[in-house]
Formats: sequence, structure tokens, C-alpha cells
Amino acid sequence: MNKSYVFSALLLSGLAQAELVGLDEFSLEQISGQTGIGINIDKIVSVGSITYSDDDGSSGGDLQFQDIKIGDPTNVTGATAHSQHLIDIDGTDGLFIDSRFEATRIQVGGISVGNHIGSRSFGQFVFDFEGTNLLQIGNGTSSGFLINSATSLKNVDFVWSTNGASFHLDNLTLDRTLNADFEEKDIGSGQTALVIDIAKFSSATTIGGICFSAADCTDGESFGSFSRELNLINSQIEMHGGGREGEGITMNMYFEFDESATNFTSYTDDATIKLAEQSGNVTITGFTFDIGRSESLIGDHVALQWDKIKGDYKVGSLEIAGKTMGSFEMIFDFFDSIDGEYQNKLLLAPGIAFAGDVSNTGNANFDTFMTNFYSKVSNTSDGISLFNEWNMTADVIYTDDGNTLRVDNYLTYGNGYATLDVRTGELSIDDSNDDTKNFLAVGVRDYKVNYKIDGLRVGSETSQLQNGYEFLGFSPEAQFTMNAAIEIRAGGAVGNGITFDGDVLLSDANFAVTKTNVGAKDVGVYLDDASYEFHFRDVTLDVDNGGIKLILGELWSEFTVGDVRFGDKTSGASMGGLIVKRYQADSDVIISAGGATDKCMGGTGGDATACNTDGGYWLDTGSEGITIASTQILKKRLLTTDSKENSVTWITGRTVNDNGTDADPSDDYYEPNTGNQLKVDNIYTSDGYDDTNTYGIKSTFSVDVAKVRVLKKTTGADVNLIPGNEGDELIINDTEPKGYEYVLAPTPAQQANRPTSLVISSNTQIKELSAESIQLIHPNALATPATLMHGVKLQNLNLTSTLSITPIR
Amino acid sequence: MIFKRLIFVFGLLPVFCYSLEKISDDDLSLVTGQNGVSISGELVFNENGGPLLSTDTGNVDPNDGSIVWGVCDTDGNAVEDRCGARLAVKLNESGGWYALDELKGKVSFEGLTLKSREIINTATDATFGGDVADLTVLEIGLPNKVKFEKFSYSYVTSNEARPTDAGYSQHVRYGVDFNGSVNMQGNILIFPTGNP
Repeated sequence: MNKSYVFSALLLSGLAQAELVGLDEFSLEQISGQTGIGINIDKIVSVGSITYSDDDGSSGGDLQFQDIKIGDPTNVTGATAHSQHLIDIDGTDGLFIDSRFEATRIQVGGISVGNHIGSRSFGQFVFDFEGTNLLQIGNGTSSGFLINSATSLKNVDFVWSTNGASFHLDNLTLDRTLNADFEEKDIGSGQTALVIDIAKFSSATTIGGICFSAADCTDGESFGSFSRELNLINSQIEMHGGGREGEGITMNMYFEFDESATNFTSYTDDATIKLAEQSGNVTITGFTFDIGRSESLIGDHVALQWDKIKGDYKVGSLEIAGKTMGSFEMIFDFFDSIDGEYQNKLLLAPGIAFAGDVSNTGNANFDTFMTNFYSKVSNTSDGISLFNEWNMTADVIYTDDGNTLRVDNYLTYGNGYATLDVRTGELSIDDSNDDTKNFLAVGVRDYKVNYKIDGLRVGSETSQLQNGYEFLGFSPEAQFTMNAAIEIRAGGAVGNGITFDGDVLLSDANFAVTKTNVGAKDVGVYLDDASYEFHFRDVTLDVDNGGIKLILGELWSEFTVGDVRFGDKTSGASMGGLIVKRYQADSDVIISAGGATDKCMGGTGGDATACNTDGGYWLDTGSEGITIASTQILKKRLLTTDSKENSVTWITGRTVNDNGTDADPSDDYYEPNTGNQLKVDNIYTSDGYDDTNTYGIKSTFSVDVAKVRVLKKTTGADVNLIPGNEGDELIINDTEPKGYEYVLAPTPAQQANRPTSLVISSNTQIKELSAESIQLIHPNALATPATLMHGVKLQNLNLTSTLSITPIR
Repeated sequence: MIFKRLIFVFGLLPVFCYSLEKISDDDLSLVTGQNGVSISGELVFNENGGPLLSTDTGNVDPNDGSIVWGVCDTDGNAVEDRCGARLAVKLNESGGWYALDELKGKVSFEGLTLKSREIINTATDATFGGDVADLTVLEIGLPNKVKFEKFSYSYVTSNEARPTDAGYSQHVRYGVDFNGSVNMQGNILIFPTGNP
């Protein structure tokens, strides 16, 4: 057995201790064990630096932990941290080390990499803890060691600090048990690996609070509390030397949930969001750890890369405030793209790579926000800069009362940069924020995102592929580049929670509104050459008994579409361009579990019998589902010079500039201010009698998956060659997509086999919605539009709709 | 959410061209895509009235002081002066308002289809008489039957936008009260044309 592996095993299974000191008489009196050796340790440790290096001359570099201190949390450099250890060796069961740690602090003054060492770091880290650890090392089932450990820590604090501000995980408890075999195995090519066979691992973690303070979190200034229980069985970690380039570390891993035990993650504010009944497994192949050199923007870095991560993760019950939405499952596969263009990697570098940069996204208005965000830090500021690249496919399955909705063949790939650091309150992008409230600053730079789905399958994995995502409000295919500056604070609208401010730009974008696959290609309606500039201030997130509540503060945005295309997404016929501007304040969104209520469809009746008698059918949506309630208060533009407004503009008849390449239409562009515009100007809500504006547009939107009645539209065979007559009802009788028949008068037993459908129920209420005017704007008279309508006013609308969405058969 | 709003906005825009046509078997043979959706459901306008309430401040007729907005009874009639939705537009700066007034009732349907469809002209089958090139259309397949229950509205002209505005008066030009079913056939095709 390689001794270094044994040392690694000890590190993994318990806690390492440093510096042996002599026992005084008092300490010896405290040791009650009589069969082994008792050791008391009082320690103050100070280490200048510890460096890990995989530099082999042609690749690799140094990862340095600087200014490490261990001592008592109240005075880490002046007071000792005390621990006791009882060591016993049993001829049958092996070595026992029973340890008790009194309050101890491990502090790291900085962590840095390669050529960043000495100039900037990932920040400062503090880890406080006290508790116990029982470690047993015996003979393994094979040639290695069997390690059983039980660790219980309390009063644990973790603090990450940068730029004079701190991010604090407060008052944690950590309980772990591990039962694992550690063995050295030959993996060929003259190399051996440490193989850890984990028969069972149990973990329970609680976090009392999360805040932006080095001191204890206070109520109302915290995100809230978290809880996590994780139980694994039959898992394995295989680790050997050598990274992706030269030296380094390579790991292959398999983890499997123990479904006989409780596995959950929960977040609690005034109420709880719980991801309960977690299960599944994940296989990680070729995960490497290296120190990389000279990435073009973030420089030397820690490189985490993987060949493949494949797994199945299921949340059996997603609960909000005690009610369940249903279950979610994700079957995923991260793998390098076939052409090799996109790999799966995460590169981490110290500092803020874009500090002081002048933003150049091509959108001058947005650039002022982004430049301001990075002007508040310097190239010596601490923080984390990262480059991320991914390529992944997945199926996402939502189950509502036993009925499934599958988002089929989700493919996503892309790459981009981001930065993370903690800042003091006066550095906020919003001058109205409290200077004393520190925050997490998240910068996103040139994040290129691509995704697409094949469609939805409702009912089962073999159900006919269909659309319907249009009604759920998401695009089935999109590409965009994201830049963003986001601030995250602790504390919500009421008590604990989370507060956000931010500026986001999606540019070079193409969004599918709807699409259809026609053999080797897709055709549909696409928003091409689009840009979405979005700003939000004082957005809060709280969880209470009503659900997840977002108070949206102030929002303003501009969405521009160069071409609304029919056909191909970049070359299809265009119906012109669009500009949609939004301006809202004090809007809100509430997300809750549970869908729509049961009701009579296609008829009238208070129950199934009465409904059937009236020619309808009873829609049973069950108890699960998702409901989103929102209030949108559209603000009126008071002055024509104000840039914030609600308006919709359609532009056509623009002059095309071929960019000097007549034969190449791909670089063509529209000359600015050459089109004719139809503009619905200054749209706003009010309360019905004057410009008081507190009611807005109130809507409730519920999503269920349920069995519905589907009638045949025409007599004859349908697209799947199943015969039937107009008005016959579709009944499932076998595995889809062709396992169904049309029945003139289905029996109750057949009605139980009606097809499963996506069911969307909504209610929209408007006291008053106005548009100041509808204008026609000629390019030669931009400042003097011709008014088509001098006012539009919608009052007292209360619209309820229920739509069931099934494939065209 | 943005896409839902965009789709909504898109739906508000006037279309360039639309037509009703019955798809022939030959046309169907050219349709290779099998996606799209069939939609069944119902829309209910102001079943019990709208959000403007009889207790609202300012909810009085400027001419006689009576309550204007209120609830509908179980037969869909306004308990106060009105309970339906109202959409008013003003075409001339100095003119009055045209309005769809007291809109309420229920519309249900089964089998409305929505899909993107590629139409390819061939030598033997030229869609639209060969007047257009190959194109992709957004096809809205009409439901066979649309059922109306207590669906009603009035077309009115008024001197002010709101029934609660000072000096408000209106003339009802005609009213519609609709119960029963409408049989439909065919589809609507939406596609771009002209200079974008």
C-alpha cells in the first residue's frame, strides 16, 4: 500500500491534526480511556505557505495556500485550540482514533495560482468548528484497508472574504459516517490507483444562516437556512496520478443514492422549499485536476475537466410550503462534442479578470452599466474568475399526479466567462442601495449559450412528439451571447430572503417561437438578429406559505428583433423587425405548488355526471401541478424624452446594405432609420378611473398534465393511418405513438384511457390598460409621427381560459 | 415569460396575408412535418363581472350618480349598470370613441391546430396558383365546432373613453347575443410578404 494513499485516506475520512505537544497533568486527568494512548493537543499553528505543483517544465504550475493559521477562533494567533485523541489498537478490529475538538479555527490568508501569486488571490477563508471524530482502520475485504468513520461537527462557520467584505455560512452542523475500502490497484501501463469502494456514506448538513458579514448572521439579514441529507451506497472513487496535461490528478467516480434512506435538500425562509425523495446515480469519467497556464483572458488557473458525466437525478417530490408540485427527473450526459469544439471544463483563476475594463458589447447603452460594474474593482482585487465550457444532452421529465411531461432531447453547449467577488455596500451599481449592505457581485462576460429541444412528449417516453412549449413561455431553440452585472444581497422584502439588482444583455440572439421538423431541417417562426437588454433593481425573493414570492422592484427592458422569420431561422422570409420596450415597477410573481381546480370542459356542470349530461367532460387535474400568479404594473411614460416606456414597434420596408459583398447576403444589414414603423406607444395600466396605478395586470397561470377528451376532426385515416369518423373520441389502447383507436361512444373504462395532455389554465384581470396612441412613423419624419389612433383603452377584463394541448394526429 | 409576452405581442400584430383554404390530399402529401399541436379549450369573459367593483371610489355615473361597474348575475346580466369588458379606440384627435362594450360569455372549441408548415411548389401542384415561391407558413387549423354560451357584446360610440368620465354619453349601434354552435372548416395561413 502506497503510504501517501493512506495519508489521503485519513484526510478524506476524518480530520488531520498538526503539531504534537506534551500533555500536562491536568490534561491527562481528562482522559478516561484505559486501554490505549491518550493525547491532548493545544495548538497554535502558523504556516507561511503550502504549495501544490504539477509543473513538469512544459505544462502545469503552482497552487499556493498562503498565510495559514490554526488556533482558537477568538484569537487565532494568540490562543490555542485544544483537542483530545484516544488511540487504541484491537487485534480484531484494528486501529481506533477517537477525537474531540474544541473550538478551532483554520484560516487561509489567500489562495492563488501560477503567475497570479503575489498579486491577487481567490480571497481569504476562515473555517471554524468543534466536534468529534471516530476513526477505525481495519483490514479490508481485499488487500486494502477498511475505514469506518463518524464525524460530528457543530458551531461550524465558513467565511469567504474579498475586497473588505465577507460571505458567511453561519452556524453549520455537519454529521458524516463513512464505510469504505481503500485499496491500491494496478490500472496498467505501470500505474496504480487508489480505489475507494464506498459501501455506505451518510451525510446530514444544516446551515443556520447565510449572510454578507464576518460576524454572525442576524435575522432579516440572511438568505435563510438550509438543510441537506445525503445517503450513498455502492459508490466508488478511483484516483491516480497524471492530469490532462502532464502531471496532475485524474479521477473516475460513481455515486448512487441510497433510496432506502432519506435524501433531501431544503431552503427555509418563512416557509420551506424542499427537494425531497432524491434518487439516482452519476458516473464521472476522466475528471482531471491540473494547474493550467495562460488562458487568454483569465491567465494561469486551476483546470477541472471531465470526459463524461452521465447520470439520472430524480426529485420525487418538489415541495413549496408543504404542497407538492410533482416529481422531476433529469437524465443527462455531459460529453465532448463530436467535432471537439465544445468540451466540458471549468477553469478557475484568482482575482477579477475584467476589473477596470471598458465594456464593448456593441450596445453603447448597456456598456455604460457594465463598465461601471467593473470600474469598482482593480486588477489587484481578490475574487474568482472562471471560464466554463459545456456540451450536454438531457431529457427532463415532470410528473404530475402520475402523468408525465417529457422535454425531449434537450441539447445545450456553449462557453463563456464569469467573475465572483464580495464587495462592500458603497460599491453597488445602484446608488440608492444601503452602503452598509455588502453583496456578492456576479459578472458574466461573453457567455455564448446554445440550446434546442426536439419537442415535448406527454404521457410516456414513446408518445408522439409535439409542440406546446409556446404556451409555457419558453423557446424550443435559442442562441445568444450573455453579458451581465448582477448583485446579490441577503434579506428579502420581509425578513430573510434574497435581493437582486442587475443589468443583463442577450445579444447576437436567435429565438424560435415555434418550429416543426421536416426531415433534415427545422422550419418555424424565429426571432432573428435579436437583442434583449434587461435591467432590474430591488428584486426580492422570499418564501412564505403562499409560495415563492418575487417582488420585482423596478424593471425596464428593450427587446429588438431584426427579422421575424418564417422558415429557416436565419434565412427564412422576414415579416420585418420588432422593438418591444417594457417598464414596470412594484410588479410581483408568486410561484406555488398545485395546479388548476377540476372543472367541466366543453359543457356546463358542477360534477362529472352533470358535465357529461351537458355534452362536456370532467377535467380532473389532481392535486399536483404548478401555479404562477403575477401582477404586472406597467408604468406610464410621463415625458416624451423619458427612455423608459412600454411600447411595441413593427418596422418594415428597410433599405438593405450589402456591406460591399453583393453575392454574400450573410453580412447584409439594414440601414438605420430607413423603415416605416407602426408603433403602439406608451402602454400603461391604471385602476380604472384616473391614472392611479396599483392594480396592473393580474394573472394566474397553472400548468397540469392530465387526461383529456380529444375528438377526431375529419372522417378517414389520420396522420398515423388510424381510421375513424369525425367526432369519434381518441382512446389509448397500447404503446404510443400509434397505440390508439377512435371510438364513437367510449365506455367509462375506455374513458379512463383518454390521452394525456398538457393543460394550461389561466385567468387574467385588468381594470384598465391603455395605449396613448398608435402611430405610423415615416423614416423621413421620425420626430413627427402620423397618429393612426389617438387612444386605446381596455377596461374591466376578466378572462378565464383552459386549454388542453395534444399532438396533431 | 418573455417569450410568452413576445408571442402575445406577435399575435397582436396585423398579418400580411391570410386566406381560408381546404387542404387537398396532394397538399397534405407535401406536408412532411408532424409536429404542431391540437388545442381544445374554452375562453370565458367576465363570467361574474370584472375587477372594477361597485365599491370602487369614482365608480359613479357622471350624469345620475348611479353605480356603473359591478358584478354579473348567474344569467350573465349586470347587477349594476355594467359587468362586461370594454375595448374603446379613438380614431380622431377631436372625435369620440368606438367601443366593443359589455363583452362577456363563454366560447369553447375542440381541435384548433397550430403548426409551422412548409409549402413546396411543384410543377404539377402550385400553391396559390404559383403566385408565391416555396414558403413556410404558420397554419392555424380551425376547429370543427365552436360553441358559444351567453356570449354577448355591443358596438357603441361614446364621447368619452370611460363610462365614469364627466359628461359621458353613448349610443348603442348594435348588440350581439350569441348562444349555439358554429361549424368551421379550413385553416388560416400566416406568412410574410413584401419588403421587410
